Amino acid sequence: MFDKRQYTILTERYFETLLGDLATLGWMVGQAPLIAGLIILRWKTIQATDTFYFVIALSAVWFGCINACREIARESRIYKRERIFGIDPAAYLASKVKILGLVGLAEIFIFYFLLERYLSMDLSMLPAFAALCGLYFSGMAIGLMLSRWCGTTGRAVVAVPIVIIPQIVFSKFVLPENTLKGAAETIEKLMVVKWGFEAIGHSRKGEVAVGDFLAAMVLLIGLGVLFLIATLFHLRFGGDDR
Amino acid sequence: MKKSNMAYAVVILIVGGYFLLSSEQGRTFISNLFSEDRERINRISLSFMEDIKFKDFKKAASYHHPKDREKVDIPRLIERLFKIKPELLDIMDYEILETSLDSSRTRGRVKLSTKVQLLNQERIEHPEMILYYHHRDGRWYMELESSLR
Repeated sequence: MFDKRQYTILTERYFETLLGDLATLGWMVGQAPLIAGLIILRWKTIQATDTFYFVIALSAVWFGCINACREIARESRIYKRERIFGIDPAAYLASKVKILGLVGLAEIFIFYFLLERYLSMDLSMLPAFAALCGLYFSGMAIGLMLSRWCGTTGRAVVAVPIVIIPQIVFSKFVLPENTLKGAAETIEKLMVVKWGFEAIGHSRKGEVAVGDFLAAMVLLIGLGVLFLIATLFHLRFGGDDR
Repeated sequence: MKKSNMAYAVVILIVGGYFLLSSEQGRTFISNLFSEDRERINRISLSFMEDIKFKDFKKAASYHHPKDREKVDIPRLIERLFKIKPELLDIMDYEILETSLDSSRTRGRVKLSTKVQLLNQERIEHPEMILYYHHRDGRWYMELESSLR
């Protein structure tokens, strides 16, 4: 059963901890204008292309993943102790999702605002923003999974590129799409950037395909939920309560 | 209220406010609280664009003052604006960028951004246009001759 009382307490505690470490919070939110600035520099003089949409999709996943990858690992000792005293893993994970989601919402907004202000994106505002938020959510879910399964912050941070690089390698930007065959084709379908990129592609002005957009969003969010379930599984059965 | 919920509310308000103010529909919604004129000329502009998208030039001409309707030659004006025959023009999308009224509230203008494909060149362009309006005989009428020039 989900313990709502624990969830509220853990959420407020995590929020206070984050506010108490303003430097880390600053780095989390500050990466959005930095990356947006670099993208603006590169695309300022040219029309947005598929590569541009891929880069913004990848950036959103990166934000989520890097923000979350340390958040469980750095509290592993506290979690182990509290698990013995009956902390609810689902409430613990949900508190992380809520606060990191808040950081992400602010971050994606800054990112989107700057890109829209300085570039000609040719995207319908709301679906494109929703797609970026979905990408952040899935990236955050991957980050939380790494944070739990890797055990230490060091290993989790090192693991981030290991999950981000396949997002690029198994995309159609490295090799033509028809070269993706067999296992590579299956792996490609597990890449969150693929579905986020498709959702962004279906958000173009004058070409918004609601059905295709929603299908891509469901798969994107669905993958994120799967990663969260994997995290919850380890939190519950990882042996911390012994 | 919990601090984290309060922070969520603030961020959602900022994001929602931005989306509301940065889209013409949002701005119109706010200004409609004080006047319906903007909404009217926006509605006419969108209907006009829809008519020329579906090549219904007769209906597109109907937004002009009855005295001017016979003079309006929309296909010719489109040809002049886009430098292409209307049948080779595919209007893919359009959106209102800005709507303004003058101080007497009898003249208005609507700036639109369009996304069009020139079918004979397979090229996509994003021309902008301004539609001008005059308030005559208690109604808003489009002044097309000046709009597409």
